[in-house]
Amino acid sequence: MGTVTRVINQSSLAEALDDAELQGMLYQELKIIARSKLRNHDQITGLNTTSLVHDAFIKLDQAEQKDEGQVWTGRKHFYATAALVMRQILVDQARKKLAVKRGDGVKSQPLDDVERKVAANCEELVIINEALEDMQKIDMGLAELVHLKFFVGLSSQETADLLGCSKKTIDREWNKAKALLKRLVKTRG
Amino acid sequence: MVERVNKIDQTEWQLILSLFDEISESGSWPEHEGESIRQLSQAGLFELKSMLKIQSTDSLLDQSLDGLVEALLPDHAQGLNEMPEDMLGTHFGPWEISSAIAQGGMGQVYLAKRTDGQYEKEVALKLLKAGQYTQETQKRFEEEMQTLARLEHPFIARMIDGGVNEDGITYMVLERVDGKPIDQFASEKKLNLRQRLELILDVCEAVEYAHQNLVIHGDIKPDNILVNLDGHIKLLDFGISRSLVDTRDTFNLSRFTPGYAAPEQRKGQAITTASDVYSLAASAMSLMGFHEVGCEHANKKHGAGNWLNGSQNNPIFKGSSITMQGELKAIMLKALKVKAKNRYSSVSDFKRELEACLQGKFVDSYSTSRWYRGKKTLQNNAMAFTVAALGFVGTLSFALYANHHSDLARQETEKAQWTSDFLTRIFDQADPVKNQVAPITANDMVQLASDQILNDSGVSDELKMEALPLLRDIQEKLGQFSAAETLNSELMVLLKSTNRPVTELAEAHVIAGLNKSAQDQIEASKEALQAAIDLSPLDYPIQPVAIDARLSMANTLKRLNELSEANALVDQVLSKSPSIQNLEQGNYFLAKAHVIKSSVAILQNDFERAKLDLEQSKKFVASLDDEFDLSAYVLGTESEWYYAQGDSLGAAKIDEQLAVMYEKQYGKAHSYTLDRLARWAVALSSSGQMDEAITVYKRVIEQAKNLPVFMHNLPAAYLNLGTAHYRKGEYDLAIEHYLKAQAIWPNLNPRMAYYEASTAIRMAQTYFELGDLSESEQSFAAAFKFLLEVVDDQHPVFKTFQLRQVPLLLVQEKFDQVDAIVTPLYQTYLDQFGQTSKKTAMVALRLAQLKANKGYRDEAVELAKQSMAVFDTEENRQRHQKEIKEAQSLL
Repeated sequence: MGTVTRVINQSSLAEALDDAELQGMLYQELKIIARSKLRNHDQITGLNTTSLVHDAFIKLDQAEQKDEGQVWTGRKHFYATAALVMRQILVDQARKKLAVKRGDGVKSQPLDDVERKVAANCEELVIINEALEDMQKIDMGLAELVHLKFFVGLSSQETADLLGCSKKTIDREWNKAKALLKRLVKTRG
Repeated sequence: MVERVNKIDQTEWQLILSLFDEISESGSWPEHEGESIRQLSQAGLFELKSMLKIQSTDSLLDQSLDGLVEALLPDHAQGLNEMPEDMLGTHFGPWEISSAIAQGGMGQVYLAKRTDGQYEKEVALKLLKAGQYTQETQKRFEEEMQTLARLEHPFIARMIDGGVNEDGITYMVLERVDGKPIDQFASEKKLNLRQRLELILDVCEAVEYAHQNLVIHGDIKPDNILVNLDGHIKLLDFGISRSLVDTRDTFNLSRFTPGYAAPEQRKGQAITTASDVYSLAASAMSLMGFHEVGCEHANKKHGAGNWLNGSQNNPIFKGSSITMQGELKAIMLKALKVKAKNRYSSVSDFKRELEACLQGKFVDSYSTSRWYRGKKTLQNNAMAFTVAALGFVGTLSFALYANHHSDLARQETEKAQWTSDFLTRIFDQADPVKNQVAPITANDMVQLASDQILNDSGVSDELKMEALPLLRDIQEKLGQFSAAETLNSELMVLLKSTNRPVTELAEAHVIAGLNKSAQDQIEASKEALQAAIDLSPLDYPIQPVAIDARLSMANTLKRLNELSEANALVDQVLSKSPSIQNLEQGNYFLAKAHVIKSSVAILQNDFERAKLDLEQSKKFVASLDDEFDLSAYVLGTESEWYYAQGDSLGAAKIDEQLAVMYEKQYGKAHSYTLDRLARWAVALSSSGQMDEAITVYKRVIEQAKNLPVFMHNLPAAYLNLGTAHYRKGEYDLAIEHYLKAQAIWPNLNPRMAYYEASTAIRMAQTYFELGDLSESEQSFAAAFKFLLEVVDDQHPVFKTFQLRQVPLLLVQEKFDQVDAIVTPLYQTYLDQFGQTSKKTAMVALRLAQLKANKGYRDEAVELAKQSMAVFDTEENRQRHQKEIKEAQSLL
């Protein structure tokens, strides 16, 4: 996971992760790439050069190839990194949303049904994020599956293709991961 | 609990997880607890059982994150430039993608061509953006398609096709607009302020059209307004538009563009047509070089006020007479109000004011012009009631659709509800089967409506202020002047208690004045019109009501015989001609002013001046289209001009022309048409064509029989027919018709005392001819009584009535009385009309008779000669045979 960490720590990406607007764009870009990549079965291509992901991933890819001889090609690597970034973005946004809702001494506005639902989802997401930390200590593989299925939004088939196993296995593992994560969420909540 | 979880080590967790697999697979807890289960600690066993027990599927983990992402991420993050390469060449129905062009709020737009050659042009093909296929977005995309399918307007990008391709992707095919965003276009072409505002007016038209089709755009901004190669605007991207009838929550409508979205939209509240007004104005501001319309300004308490200042340094305003200090600022501020209800409630209003500003007309003309239009409709349309009522219902049923949308819509809904209840009640009462009564008349209906609106406490002032003028105008149309007056007074009370523009109150006073005038209450009319004049000074910017008040006053003064005052008032109005000409109804007012002047001049016997004003008036009328009333007034005055000079033949020709015009406008049996026919007949009889006149009167009588009893046409026709027979010397026939007229007059509402007086005086004259002096005397007394109800004894009409009694008085040898009447009148007429006037000649004849009776022979002969010189001429001989005989007998 060294590469993933390096991607995330890269300055342009770190900057992107600090900026709410850039976060949003980064998230969407990652999502689009994640989908197009599945179709293309090749390296990260088809991005225009103003893309944030281009900065974060392609440059690093080239740098690593040149400097360290390491090859940044594995789709798995990309997804692992993308998932982590996407998770971070979403949780960050959810936390901000909750902070605004709770407000500092500001009388809270009555929420409509939809807003209430969003607020509840945000709370759940923040707890899921914490529970996922617990889960990583118990089973790294299941945590990775949560990343791909939940944060990247891949289908079972897509995940199976990526991880090189059967869809049935992914379904079973995903079922288990959800049960464990829900349990962990409950113990935290 | 966290501690318990932490107590379980990783090895035990692995065991728990594999047992979970095993049990999930078999679907049941092992019957004989196996070795492995027994290895679990209490905590481990509890966790395993808990995991297995979890049934809930409502966790976020069981759903797609798409919805939450949509709610959390900044909106513009959705606008990405990524186009999957493999979209090129992809087929959507008969369409094939050739390249990507743009991004909408949630759509990806491609260029596409039709592969089967049925459509040559390149089109825009719009898809949901990759990664956004949630149910919600899909649904909204389909809604956009339905919306667009409804809209067909030259300024709105047209939808050509739509469907779902083989991969299940929904697509929409739109007219491809080859153009540039409006702001870019404007700066590249270096458009001036006027040209920019004209483009905005076109956008207004497109939005107005959408609203009429119950669609709110929801994302109006320069980027969504393209100007094509022909320089025409095209409104794009109805992606977040919604139907006015849609009442779902609006949370997901948050995908607007912040700088142009109305405050309520930014807060996630329901959007209305007023939200589009805001965005339109914000786009207009941006186009005029003010770029910071965004949240900061509009959210401040005082709206966009401060920031609007200072167009002096703005290059777009250079060389323009319009600045950001005057009307334009007022318009923009109103459109950019933070509270939707304070904005223009419709794009049409915004557009109208903007147009007025651009044309250099005063702004806030709206209420007035609406009044004029309303008034005109009622004046011109025989079916006014039906039309107005349908319009009323139409507007309000639209409002029913707009349910749930803002205070404004609620108001409209209230109105609609009330109207529908109200109409139901009215039509229930009009149902002859239900009520076993004769069908209700329009008159009764309006009366019911009036009662309802005045007595129903549930009616809001707003609604009253809207309904009262309508009902009032209908009442007036129906001749129910006192009912109209009541409604108008109610309206005035309301207008005074609310902060409606003072022009509306002035308008109500004008109506009151016209109403009083129609009831022959001339002094009261003068009073009301003076109030209107006081409320509407004739200064800049000139208000239509100020002109209307003065012209109406001039007409009333004319009736009061205050001719020079009337003339002065019209001159006062005409001194503002240049400003008046700039008004929408400018030519109308000028035509009217000149025709009034002309008619006053006719009464003053200044036929030269009358002719000049008549020409002026005709010139202005010619520039108007569809101004029937005024053209009729002008032609009528022309007829009057001939008539007053004794050229009845000339008058008759014009009257015939007028009669045909009225028949075409109102139909054969309409009161107005019959009035015109009657006038024609009067002209015919004046020019000695008695038999022709009698034929026309009989036609009037035949057609007037279908009119309501309160109309004056039938008795007036009997009166005139009687007079025609009188002129022919057929006194018995004359009396027969006069008696019919006399029987009908008192039934009229309002009572027409002047005509009762005229009938009585004609009868008196006829009885005199028949030798029935006592009947004659009684009739004269009745005539004076009736006449004094409407004029005083110094009024010229009263004098002419008195003059008619002179032959009787002479026979009765009441010479002092005759002297008191004739001597001063002769002097007056001599001064006023000169010796050659027929009026003077008539008084001269009576005076001669008096002198003869008193034994002043020479004076009598002198006066008789004088009158002969007038009557015994080519043009007058036929009509005045009686007078000629009388004069000859003196000679």
